[in-house]
Amino acid sequence: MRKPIFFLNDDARILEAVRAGSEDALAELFHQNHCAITAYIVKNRGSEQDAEDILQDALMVFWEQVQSGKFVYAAKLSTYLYGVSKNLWLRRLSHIRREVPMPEEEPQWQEEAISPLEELMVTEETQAVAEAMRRIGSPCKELLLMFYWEERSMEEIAEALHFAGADTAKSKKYQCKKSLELLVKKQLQGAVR
Amino acid sequence: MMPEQSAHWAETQDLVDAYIMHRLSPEETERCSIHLASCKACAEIVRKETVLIGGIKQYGRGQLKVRLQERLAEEESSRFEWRRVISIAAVMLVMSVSAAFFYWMTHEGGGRNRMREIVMQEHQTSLWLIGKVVVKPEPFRGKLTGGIWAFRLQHDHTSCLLHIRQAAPEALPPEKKHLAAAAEEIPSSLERTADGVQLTVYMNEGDHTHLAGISPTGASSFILYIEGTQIAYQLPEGWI
Repeated sequence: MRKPIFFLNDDARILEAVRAGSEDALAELFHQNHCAITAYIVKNRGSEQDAEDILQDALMVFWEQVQSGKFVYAAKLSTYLYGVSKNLWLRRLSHIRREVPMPEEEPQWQEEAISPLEELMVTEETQAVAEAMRRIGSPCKELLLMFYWEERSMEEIAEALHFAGADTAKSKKYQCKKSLELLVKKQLQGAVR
Repeated sequence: MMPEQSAHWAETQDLVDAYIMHRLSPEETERCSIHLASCKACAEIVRKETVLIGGIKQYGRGQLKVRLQERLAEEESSRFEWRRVISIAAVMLVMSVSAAFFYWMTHEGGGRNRMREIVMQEHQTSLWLIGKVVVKPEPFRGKLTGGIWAFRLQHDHTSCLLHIRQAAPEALPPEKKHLAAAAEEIPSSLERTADGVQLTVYMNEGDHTHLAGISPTGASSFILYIEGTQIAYQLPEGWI
């Protein structure tokens, strides 16, 4: 896809930057949306620190959606982030078993940006996997992240990590996954040195 | 992508990945789900793979979040540093302006006098002094009697009668004529008299032939206001 020469609006520019892997764009989105998100969360039994954390999590969701190609620009980015932040905050409130007041109005952003996979991310096992990822070396770490987190194709991964081809990258992915499984097993058994 | 027979599809790594990452078509997804409902082995494989992929995503997200937090903290720190730099610069600017204004007030303008002490020559019954001219735009009137002015210099418990007279530079002794070369240096002689000292100021008379006044500035120093100029003298010790 040919890179646009100009952007029709700020959202388009930011979206293009995020697609290109710019983390500066995330910081820019944070600053743009910080006040609105903070106002909502503080109003709904949260703190400013909660708001910062939630907005950062929402930006992570946004990043993943864009990187995987699943993001559909159906509303302003600020609207999208506001909706995701609200969902995340309500989920967090329900998890800590606080009394959640009925919202004055239904959330306008209905699309499920958070999959059931998200629910598993706080389990002990996934924590063990995350810990194993910290220990695994390169290029396994990068390869696994690119395939499972950024959802890139084998061709893109082979080019980025200088493999001979997609088949080589695929074979390497299989090996890295086995290594990771072994580390996770040791982590869970408490035998990691 | 789906095998022809409803075998243990979870044994195929690519299929498991595709199923977990929602890359299968709706029909394929439905067929896989149906199999998982009845196959514990495949269900366990899919469960473990889901945990693994979930953990990888969690790690990736966590790392990105940390980088974002570091970037935000760095921006905040940078903004703070700039605020501090600007504050310090503002304070320094105010101090510089104040210092410059103070210097101007004490040295350049404001009608203040610029006084300097003169060079000391010899310590004898007669003494040649060089009076340094300072700027005094507003002379004040003094007392003239017979061409000689008399002033009493008093400091603590001592006092001295100072007689001042004016003479033309041409009246300078030949060996002292070179003292009249510099415009800002006024050759002057100091001689002891019966009741004090006499100061002869060798300078040309102007339109207003008068000594405007005299102001002691110390135990043995004073300023002479004459012909619209101000001349500072420092008498050697013992002459008062």
